[in-house]
Amino acid sequence: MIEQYLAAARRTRPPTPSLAAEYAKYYKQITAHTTPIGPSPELCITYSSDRKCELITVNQTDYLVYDQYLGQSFNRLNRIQYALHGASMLSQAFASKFLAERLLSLGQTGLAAFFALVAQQFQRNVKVDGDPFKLSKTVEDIRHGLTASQEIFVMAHELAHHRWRLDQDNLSKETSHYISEFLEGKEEAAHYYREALEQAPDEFLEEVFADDFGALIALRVLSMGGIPVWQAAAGAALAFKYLRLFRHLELLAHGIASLSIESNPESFKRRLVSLKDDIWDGAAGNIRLFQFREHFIRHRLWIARAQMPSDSAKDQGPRLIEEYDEKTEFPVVLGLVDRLQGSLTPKVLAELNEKMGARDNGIALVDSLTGWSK
Amino acid sequence: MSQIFIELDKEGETEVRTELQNLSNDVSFIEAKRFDGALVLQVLAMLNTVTIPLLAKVIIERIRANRHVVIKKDGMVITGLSADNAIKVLSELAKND
Repeated sequence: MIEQYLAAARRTRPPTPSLAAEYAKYYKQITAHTTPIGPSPELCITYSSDRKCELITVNQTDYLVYDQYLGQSFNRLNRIQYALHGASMLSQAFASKFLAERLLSLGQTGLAAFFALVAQQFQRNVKVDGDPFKLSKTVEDIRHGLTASQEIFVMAHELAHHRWRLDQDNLSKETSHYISEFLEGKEEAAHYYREALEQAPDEFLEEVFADDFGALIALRVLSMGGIPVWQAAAGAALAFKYLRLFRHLELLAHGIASLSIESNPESFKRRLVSLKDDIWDGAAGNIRLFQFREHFIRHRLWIARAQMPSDSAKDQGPRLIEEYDEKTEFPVVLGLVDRLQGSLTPKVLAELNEKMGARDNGIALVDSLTGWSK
Repeated sequence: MSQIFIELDKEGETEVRTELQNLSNDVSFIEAKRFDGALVLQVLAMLNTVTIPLLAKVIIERIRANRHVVIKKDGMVITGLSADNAIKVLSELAKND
């Protein structure tokens, strides 16, 4: 049944057996580091263009679905953070490919083709100055440590939801205590966050617990496995930022899809530009809650690291996290729409839709442009 | 046999479960919680002569009430769905496997 669900709900392809074995190993390590409170969900590995890890219940059986493509996406973003040049444009290429794949799933073949072509153009522009990913072994090892941390963070985050269901009262009290501890002594920030927390939806505390659980388990599992503590901590903090970026891109894909019926050039442009604000603030205006989650994770990791042996490279983590905003988040969330507003018009879109509609293999063509069919 | 995935908002969950309760061999409810904490009602359904009219009823009611409803097949969102063509679209999807 789980396979049928995934086949109907997502565009999938077979996961790589060696990576599936690696994920099973991670999951075993995660559950070994947690106090058992009943059977753990069954791990199910998929490879889908949704890039989504989720906890689901089908016919009274709990499954933790891990998506290989999510891990690959983390890996790509980690590689971009260490790119020798062109990090901003590589980030925009990544985002355009993401949008192409999501728009294709939303049935927008013309728009998907546009973003797939844009992604290819960005990549070519960067390669004019040479291979940006000719990285040293030291950097490749760091990238591996960061990606492992991110994959473990995501799996543990979902496992945390399972634990929450079984022990909600205690975990709720514990998480509220940690939140109070975090806000203590932070006058201005505390006021800013308290206002947001008062408006937060009921499930928010559960998400905060899941973030905390995910980050601390990633730190624990990887430090036992010999990965430097700073990499495990920075990896977990970046995982949260990457997932927030994916959420922005998902919102952007839906916003762009809704433009497909807009034929007036002025309205099209105005609506396209306003998507920047829509995705940043979200429909619910909950950007403060995302900021809170990020700062809370970093605070909790900082406390956990203070109890561990000193790490000579400890400054590298904060620097990497700060640079991510410049290299990836701002160019994607703020810059991509600005960059494309001149080239994405109703006329271009109508031409693309006509061309793609005239082909029997429009989907296959976009898949070959994005590399999904490889 | 063709299968589709339907995503609905959680509001009115009991009502939907009641409407589809006689289809337990062909319809499964999936509980999922996502990274952003959004709660949705997910249904995995076989398409056949028995299920199509009942599924279409649920879908049409949602569309008319301007509520969230997304249908996917093989991970692709089915576009152009309306209250008027829901039965026709589901019947086409049933054939198209």
